[in-house]
Amino acid sequence: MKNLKRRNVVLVLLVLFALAVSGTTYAYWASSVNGVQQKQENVINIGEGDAVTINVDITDPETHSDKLVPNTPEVNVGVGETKSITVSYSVVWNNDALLDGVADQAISATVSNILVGGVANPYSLITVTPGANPTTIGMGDTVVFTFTVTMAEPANVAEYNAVANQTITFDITFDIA
Amino acid sequence: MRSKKFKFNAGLLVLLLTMFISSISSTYAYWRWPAPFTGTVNNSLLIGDWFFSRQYNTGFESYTNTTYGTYVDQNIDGKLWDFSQVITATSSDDTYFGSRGLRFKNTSYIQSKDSYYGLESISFNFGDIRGGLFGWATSSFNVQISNDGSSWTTIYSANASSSFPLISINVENIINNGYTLGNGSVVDMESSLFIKINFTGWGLLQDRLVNMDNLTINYRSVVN
Repeated sequence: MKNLKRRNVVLVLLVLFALAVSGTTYAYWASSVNGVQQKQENVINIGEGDAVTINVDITDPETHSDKLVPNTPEVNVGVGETKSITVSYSVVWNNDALLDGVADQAISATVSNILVGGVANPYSLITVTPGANPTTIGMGDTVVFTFTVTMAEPANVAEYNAVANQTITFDITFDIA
Repeated sequence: MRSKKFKFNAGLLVLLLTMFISSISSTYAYWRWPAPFTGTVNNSLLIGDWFFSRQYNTGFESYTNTTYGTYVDQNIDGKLWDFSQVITATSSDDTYFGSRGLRFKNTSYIQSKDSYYGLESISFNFGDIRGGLFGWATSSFNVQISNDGSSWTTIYSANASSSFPLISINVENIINNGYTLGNGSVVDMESSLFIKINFTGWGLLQDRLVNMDNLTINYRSVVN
């Protein structure tokens, strides 16, 4: 008799647990299928509220008017010339109440598409070297990236003509993930 | 009594489970995280021009022709030159540095077969003019440049001296802002130029002679 009562108690507990679980499952399906407003709010939080577009400003406050010449001791630097140009960018992750308390995010910057006079880095003379750049950024933070541009010495007149008095362009892509 | 106690606990358990499930649902609903961001900036910088200074020096120590005539493509300390009516100067009547120099006679010249990019200056010793009875003689010389090695334009002229002065010509000052040659070409410090030194002398019943030595040419190269 005593064992029978205990079995009944366990059975009751199992039934209650099954009801609780099935009740939750039913409620979820009901919200999705029938569009019950209270339950749909949960669906929105899961589906549309997952990722928030962050507000980032990237600025380069400097202007670079000096002309780049080869980074070799034999070249004399004249007025308005330089052997290296350092470009810097401030990256600001603006505050957003939707993301309060979010953890720091990984940030990186990569250089690509180096062109000289429209030609892809002729003779690989141009080098863009990243500085000791940050790897993370927090919301509300400002981090600074630097890149130093130098030019190797052309080995012959053809290489010289490919770069002298030309314009260098390149892209820097910032990623926060 | 025991049976009632079990029923009470089971109800409490159901209540707690319901609250737990409700709690999970609410927390999950307000979860946000930042979307990945990608932004690209474009840079534009300028490249200049540059050069390496070069200097050519010769004392004509390797030029040993002793008979007047025309000699072409003579390699003098690594550069090619043509000579006309110019011989080596080693006699006691000549003036020179080292073991020898050059002696020009009447109408004579030397001219470069190599061109010089970014020609900055030319200097040389020229003089000890002699020849012509009773001093009846003329003796002028000039320095010319060319961008093709055949059409020459005078950038310096003077009368040769009885002494042996250093003649210095600042070519950069002349061509730096663009200089129009006799053939209509405009040359500047990014041009490659040939050099010619002419002597035009006449002496009464004698050859008119003059010496030259220690030629220095300063120029440029865009590669090291």
